[in-house]
Amino acid sequence: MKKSTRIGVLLVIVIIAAAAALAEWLVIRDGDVTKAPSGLITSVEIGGPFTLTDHTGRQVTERDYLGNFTLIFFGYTFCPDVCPTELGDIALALDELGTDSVAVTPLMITIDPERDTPAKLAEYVPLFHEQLIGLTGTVEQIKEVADSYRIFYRRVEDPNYTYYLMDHTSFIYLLDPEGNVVSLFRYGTSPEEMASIIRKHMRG
Amino acid sequence: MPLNRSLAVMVILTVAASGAVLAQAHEHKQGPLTVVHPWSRATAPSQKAGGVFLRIRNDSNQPDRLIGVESDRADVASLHALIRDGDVMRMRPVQGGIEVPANGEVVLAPGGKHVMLIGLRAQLIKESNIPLTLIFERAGRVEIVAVVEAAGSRGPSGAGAHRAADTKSR
Repeated sequence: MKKSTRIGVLLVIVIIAAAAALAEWLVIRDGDVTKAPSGLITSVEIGGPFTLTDHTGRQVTERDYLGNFTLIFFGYTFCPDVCPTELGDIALALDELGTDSVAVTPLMITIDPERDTPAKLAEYVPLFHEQLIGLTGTVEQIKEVADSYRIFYRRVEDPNYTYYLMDHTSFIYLLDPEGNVVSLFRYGTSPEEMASIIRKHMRG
Repeated sequence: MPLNRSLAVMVILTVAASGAVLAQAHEHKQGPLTVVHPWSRATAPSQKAGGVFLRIRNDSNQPDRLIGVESDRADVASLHALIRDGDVMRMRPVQGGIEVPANGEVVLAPGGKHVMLIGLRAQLIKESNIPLTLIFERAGRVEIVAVVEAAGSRGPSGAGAHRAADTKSR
């Protein structure tokens, strides 16, 4: 093999490996999913324990939210479009659930811990819903929880301004009261659809 | 006293006038272009970015192009688009402007193209106004005023906003 061909082959291998690594973040494999005989998903093998700080400054873990259904959204307060839309949709889904919404805890976990302090989250989350809890942590703590939920996020700098934006996966996860991930809502899922799936899981 | 009274009347008139802008879907017309109900979303005090959404109608046989935007409410105002790359959301500046088709319209809405305000100089408070200038290739500069809706609003006039988000600012 000529040297240039060898480099070419190597490059292709590197690209495929990189693509596979990226796909790993986003793909939920069939083997990860456990279903009830009815076809209702009872758990997906993603997520896991975390230690973070909520918007009141209190240290929390995933155990603090057991006993209730939980909606988890990964976003950031500097986010100009996607996050307000998703958080607005979560609020509407809770409205749609009516009195059942007390059995649902909505969480927003920031993927921008360097800017999103508890104080910033405390200003931000009540704009969307009185039940919404904002969570932040150290860079390592956030990486750990984002990795366990297979969230992709990356800082994007623009030479035109000193601020940065984030590229990020925009999923909303539904956890049951035992802390199992039972559903995942993609960007664009309507609040009505979210509410109807949450209800389905409430009925079991 | 008469001076004070006339001042009071002026204040009332100003408030009434700005209320009128809020109460109805508003439009800004310039030549063949109509900018329909520009709106934005409320921000938290320390939030530094916001989006402005609107519709532009073109009643001419000539296409036009939105090539720039200015606002003194932010360090930078620019045209941005949300790019959905699978499930990853990427926000990027629009290259070459946004076409407004002849006898047609273009919509800048959440989840797509929008005016991006980066480095907000003040919090965007619900029901307040944001003056902006849109710059078109043919129509030139068009002054508009965007109305600030609730933070989680999906459209103008609070369409679909959660009721608790109605508090002006916290």
